[in-house]
Amino acid sequence: MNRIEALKRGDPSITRMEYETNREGFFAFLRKLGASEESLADRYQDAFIILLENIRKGRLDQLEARLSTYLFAIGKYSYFNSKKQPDLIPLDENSEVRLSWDPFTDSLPEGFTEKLEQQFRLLGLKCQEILKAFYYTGLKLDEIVSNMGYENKETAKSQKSRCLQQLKKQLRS
Amino acid sequence: MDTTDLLNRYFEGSLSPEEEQAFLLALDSDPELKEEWTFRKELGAGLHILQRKQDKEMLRKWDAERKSVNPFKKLLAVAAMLAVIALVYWIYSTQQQSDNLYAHYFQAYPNVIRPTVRGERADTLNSTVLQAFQLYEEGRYKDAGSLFQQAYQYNREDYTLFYAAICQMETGDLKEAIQQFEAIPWKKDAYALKSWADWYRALAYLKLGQVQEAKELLSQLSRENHPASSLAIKLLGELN
Repeated sequence: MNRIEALKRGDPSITRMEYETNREGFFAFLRKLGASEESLADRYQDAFIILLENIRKGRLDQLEARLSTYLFAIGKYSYFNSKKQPDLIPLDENSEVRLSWDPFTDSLPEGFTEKLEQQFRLLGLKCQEILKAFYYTGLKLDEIVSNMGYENKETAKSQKSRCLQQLKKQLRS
Repeated sequence: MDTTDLLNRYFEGSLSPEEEQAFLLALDSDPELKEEWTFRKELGAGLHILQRKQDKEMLRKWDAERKSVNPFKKLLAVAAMLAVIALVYWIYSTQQQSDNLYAHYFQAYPNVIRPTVRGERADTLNSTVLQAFQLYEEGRYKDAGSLFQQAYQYNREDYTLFYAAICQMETGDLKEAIQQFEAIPWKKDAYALKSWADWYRALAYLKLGQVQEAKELLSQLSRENHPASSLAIKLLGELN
């Protein structure tokens, strides 16, 4: 199985291997840039999360360079950017790939995330799956039909709509 | 187009610029549409935040496991990991051969010396070493390997021989790679590469079918306190 594909599917052993393999190199690189020793673990975790999110969204499907190159670029850009979490990360001059990152911190009412966390778990697995595929992974309805085994687009659309209404009701109760 | 379709297409990013503009204008005049749009927007943001939180917890847990000195806890973590790996392999392949394991585990060591990312100050770097790493990053291992060998003649840095050996593995010259790793004097080992060299040597032996030699190296590695140790334990588990 392709490494990117394995990471996209959330294979725990491959994800951990990728995390462990690049850790020391990332630390050495950030140290050279002047990052403090106590910030390294946190910076590495954040960079790895940005990488994982972009992989899940299919933005690295056509990856040409090595994953470590992207990881180091994220670390470097985050380090030099005044915001800890940049919204668009240029990787290298030749690459068409740009990793995007929206911190979402300003867009939510207070307490929403905590409530969502509780209520989302109460949805059926099928609902969790389709809502996450559409609103987190960014799959289009056509892709959901082919990836998740729905009969057609209308069925997927109705299922998503039912799940949204159910979640909305739960959040309001 | 009904409201649901419009909302779906907005969140799919498949509205044309004109449609999107009209949609955003409609939000101001249609409170119901705006309410639905806001809910979906918040749901998207919330799901991102929750997934990141979950990822962060997972990575913190892995870091904590690495730091842990409690051998029992370590053993449990390794056992759990091995169980997952065993299950994955049982499902996907009942006939794991050395070649598959090699393909699964081998990945060229990242460029930790001079990563070629934008903004690197090329003028401060030695041109031969820089060029070698550039070729390495581009996957031109044969040329990169020759340059690393040349570079060693004047900088005498262990890492140049290490990367030369990785290049040999990439080009399939495994016996030569093993000899190259064994010939590194390890004067400073400033980048903690020595244990990684043993890891790669074990992989090369594995690919050559010399499983016993690979196991001996992995067994030594598994007793070290190094990032390669957990990989060695995993691979040993799969070989046994």
